[in-house]
Amino acid sequence: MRKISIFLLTILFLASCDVLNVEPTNSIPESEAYKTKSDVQRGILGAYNSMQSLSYYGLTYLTFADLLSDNLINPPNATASSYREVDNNAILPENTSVEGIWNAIYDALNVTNKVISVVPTLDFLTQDEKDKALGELYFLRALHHFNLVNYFGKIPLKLEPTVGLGSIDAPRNSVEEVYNQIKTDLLEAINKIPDGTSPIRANKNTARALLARVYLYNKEYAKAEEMASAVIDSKKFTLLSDYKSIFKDYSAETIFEVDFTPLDRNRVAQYFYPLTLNGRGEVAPAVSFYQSFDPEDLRLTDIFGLSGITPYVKKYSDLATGGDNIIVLRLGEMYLIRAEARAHLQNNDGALADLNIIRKRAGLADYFSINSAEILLAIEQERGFELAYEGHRWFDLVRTNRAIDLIETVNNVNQYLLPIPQSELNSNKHSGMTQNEGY
Amino acid sequence: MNLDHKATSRLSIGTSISLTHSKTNRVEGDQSLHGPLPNGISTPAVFSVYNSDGTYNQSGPYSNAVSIINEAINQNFSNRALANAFLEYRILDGLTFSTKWGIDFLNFREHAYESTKTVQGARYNGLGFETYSNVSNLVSNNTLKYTFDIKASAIEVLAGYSFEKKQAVSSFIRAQDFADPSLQYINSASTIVSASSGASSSGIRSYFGRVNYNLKDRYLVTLSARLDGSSKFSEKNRNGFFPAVSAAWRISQEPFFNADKISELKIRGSFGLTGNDDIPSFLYASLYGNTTYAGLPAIYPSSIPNPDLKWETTAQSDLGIDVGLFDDRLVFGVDVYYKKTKDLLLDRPLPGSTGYSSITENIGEIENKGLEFSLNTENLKDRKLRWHTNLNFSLNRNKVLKLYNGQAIDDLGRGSNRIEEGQPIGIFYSYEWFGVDPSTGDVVYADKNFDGKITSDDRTKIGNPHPSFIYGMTNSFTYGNFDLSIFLQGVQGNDVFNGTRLFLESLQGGDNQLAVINERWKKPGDITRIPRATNDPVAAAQNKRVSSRFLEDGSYLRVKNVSLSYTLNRQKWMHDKINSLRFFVTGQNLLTFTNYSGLDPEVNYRGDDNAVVGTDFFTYPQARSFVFGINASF
Repeated sequence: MRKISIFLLTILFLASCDVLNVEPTNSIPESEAYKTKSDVQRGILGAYNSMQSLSYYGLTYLTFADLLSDNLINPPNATASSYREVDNNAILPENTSVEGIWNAIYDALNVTNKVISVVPTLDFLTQDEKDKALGELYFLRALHHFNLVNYFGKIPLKLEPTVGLGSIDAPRNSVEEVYNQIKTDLLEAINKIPDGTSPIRANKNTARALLARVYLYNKEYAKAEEMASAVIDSKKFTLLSDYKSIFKDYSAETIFEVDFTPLDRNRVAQYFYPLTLNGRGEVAPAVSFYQSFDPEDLRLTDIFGLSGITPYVKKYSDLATGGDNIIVLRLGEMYLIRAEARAHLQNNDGALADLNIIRKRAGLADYFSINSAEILLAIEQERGFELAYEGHRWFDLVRTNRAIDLIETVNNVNQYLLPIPQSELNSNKHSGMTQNEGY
Repeated sequence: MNLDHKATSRLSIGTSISLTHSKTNRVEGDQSLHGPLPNGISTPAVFSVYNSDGTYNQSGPYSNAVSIINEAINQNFSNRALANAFLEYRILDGLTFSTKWGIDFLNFREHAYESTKTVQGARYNGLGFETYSNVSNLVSNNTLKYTFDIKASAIEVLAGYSFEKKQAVSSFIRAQDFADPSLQYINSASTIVSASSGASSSGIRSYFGRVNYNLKDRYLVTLSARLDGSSKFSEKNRNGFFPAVSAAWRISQEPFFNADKISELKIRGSFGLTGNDDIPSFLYASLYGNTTYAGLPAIYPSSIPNPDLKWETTAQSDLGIDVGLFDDRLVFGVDVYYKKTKDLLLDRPLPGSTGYSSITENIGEIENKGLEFSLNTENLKDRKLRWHTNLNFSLNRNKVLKLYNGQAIDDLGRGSNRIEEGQPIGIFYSYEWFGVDPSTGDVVYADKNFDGKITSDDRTKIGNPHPSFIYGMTNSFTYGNFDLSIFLQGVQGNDVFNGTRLFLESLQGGDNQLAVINERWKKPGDITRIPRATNDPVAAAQNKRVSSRFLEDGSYLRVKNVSLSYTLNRQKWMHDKINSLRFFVTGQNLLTFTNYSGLDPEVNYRGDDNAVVGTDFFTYPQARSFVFGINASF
């Protein structure tokens, strides 16, 4: 009997001593996360990965830049009420889709900042490896801040990851401060990253291309022209003769795109395709915009499909698996940036030359000697056609203060900015966290 | 199957094993937008179910609900094995060692498939899921017990040690592009769109002790204490110490007590601490999650750690009295209690600008106090017709005493619940509506800060999801071999947020609308509770804000259960081994009296979430069910 008791007590002891020592099986402890060079690559890919969010390039961020403007609508039989508010430019601070954009971009910023804070501390990386890693991450940080400032205006600038709860309440920085940081990050990125070719990883030209757009938005036209030229003259990218092949994954025209696969899918085609084609049909092209195309425009049939007589947008067409890569920057935009910068710099011939490159591909006649104001209007219109549904139209009309003229439901400049999400106002107790005017 | 064996006069051992297998056909739940209920009630009736050629009409704004019910396959299969073993050894007279081991294995498979006849299936050219999970839970409980008497006192001393280990492994595959509608397993799918597997484990270890003291069945005292360790907390906060004491005095047993009509009189009191560790594992640690980007492995910080997490503890005091009258034909009990919970484990929402949505914290303090009353009566006894009544009534008042820095937690769930100091947990906090302006047809909200604008600063407490009291009554009748029992259940004074109306009375978009919108405002002077239908986007957005417009009284009285049975005692024609047969019919949720306009006031779309409460959002009502059955005893 005693033997049995001892035996049982031994089993008891052995079986129980490790009950409390459990290790996570689906995650890695922070102390184990960065041990090798390939771990660092995993961390950087994690930063890119956060752009796949449904609220970011996976759908909402991208789509709202057209839905807010005059080329896309939330059709009457659609059901997403947060989309209805956006289409009507009458948005409540509790709009869940807008909240999603805010949260998704800040999540991407936090993941990016986390890697930025780790890389300099890793002794096993050479200086070149650190520079390349940081350069890519600075590009991403600049992109995220830029995307936020364009929608929300003054925003909290985030340069450090959130660690603990010490500094979670943050004020809004001025638009100028945010832009200065964006430019600093992009110039650093250009300095630090070598040339590269993959459109899903940032390289020198990726940072230049984004900086060209930043300078254009900031009305620094000489610098915008310089950056756009640097990208164009690098000869790393090709203006494809066939417009619709731009939207295939890894096309030669793309400077930067966000990768999607069936395992990490976007919902763009799902929301753009009508119910009749088994899409959700939450957004549809504005008929006035569809009809404003020149019937000869070769892009017309590449941008739109027809379901019966109703047009729908098919730039991203992988409805079944949502695996289309989403374009962030491409060469066509660089020509249009340079054209606009040149027009402002009174270089009308240069501006027309760039503009006509884009028109020529679309099978349209060249523009000849028109004045600067007319050129700017022509560029505005051409950007509308060329970059339709790629997340540009709203920002273009807001930065040129044209939204109030062109968008029926915009009658006050307060509508140029989205409301700061109510959830942020509720939980961020900093006195410098305030709502935008008019909300 | 149970086996008990007395090996020697001192040793007894035993085991029990049970095996169950079950298969369940399910309809997709209400949480998912793809369930038949939300799709069915949101699709306007102008869309017919079938096209003229007999195919499903999928042209409505939502999926055809009938196509989901008929065509979507969603099945669960579970195999469960429960095994227990015990050993009890009497070391000396009064000293017993006992050890019990139990293991619970659950093997669970979920199989789902949608052919191209549903919208979701058509979008993906056939869509299938396959989920497997294995869960095991090992429990061991070991005690040493010593009982002895000192004069008239009976004393029992017990010391124990127990532990529990839970492990779960699961895998999941989602695939599309099926070769043929009749082939519904993943091997017929040409694209696997998602596949993953994972594992988790957690454990609890406890040391405990207890002393029972009983003097002449009049004075009863119990002291106990336990030290629990949980793997969900970091090493420094692992252990929680939870003592308790209780005492009772049976006055009716005292020699001086001689009231004939009072058969039992007992006063009870207790005080004790209990702990709660019901949170996911590893929230205390800084972890990186895994994902892939462009086909390559990637990592990202997955949560914001809280190394200070510790046990949530509740101190509860209870005072009660039990009275039995007329030989216990009338028995009633009254209990009052006060519970104070410290270090409440709650998710605190973080500003989105941190990159995280929330952190789990030991946030604050909450109190619950209440009263419970029960009455049992034998109305008719010792006759052919017997009648027994059980009546109970209870009320609970809940209040949040302290939160982190006094900060309220806001905007939880669809109905905008809020946790705020000085208020019950999960009050409804949003805009107060005054009705529809007869001159404009737009909703008027209370401008609480009188600044002429309706902004988030105008939100206010508009309702309380907790009832004033709840009650129940069961009447049981026996007549000969017939038994009848009727159970009524009631809840009084709680508010329910009817989030379904947010869409079905929105007067915009493609949603089906409730008949009540016929009463909408149409011309100046109309007095109504439904705003105008309008193209003005600002007014349309304002009119459908989450507000007290959608708050309703959730009180109800429900015939919860009626059961009738007939017992047939042993008859000649029965098999030898059968002692009796009982035939029964039971009905659930037969009748409900309520003013609530939705499908069922007794629902919450977030299940048993403790902060998102009292909210109906296309929530599946409780089913009315009837069960017929036969019990045989051998």
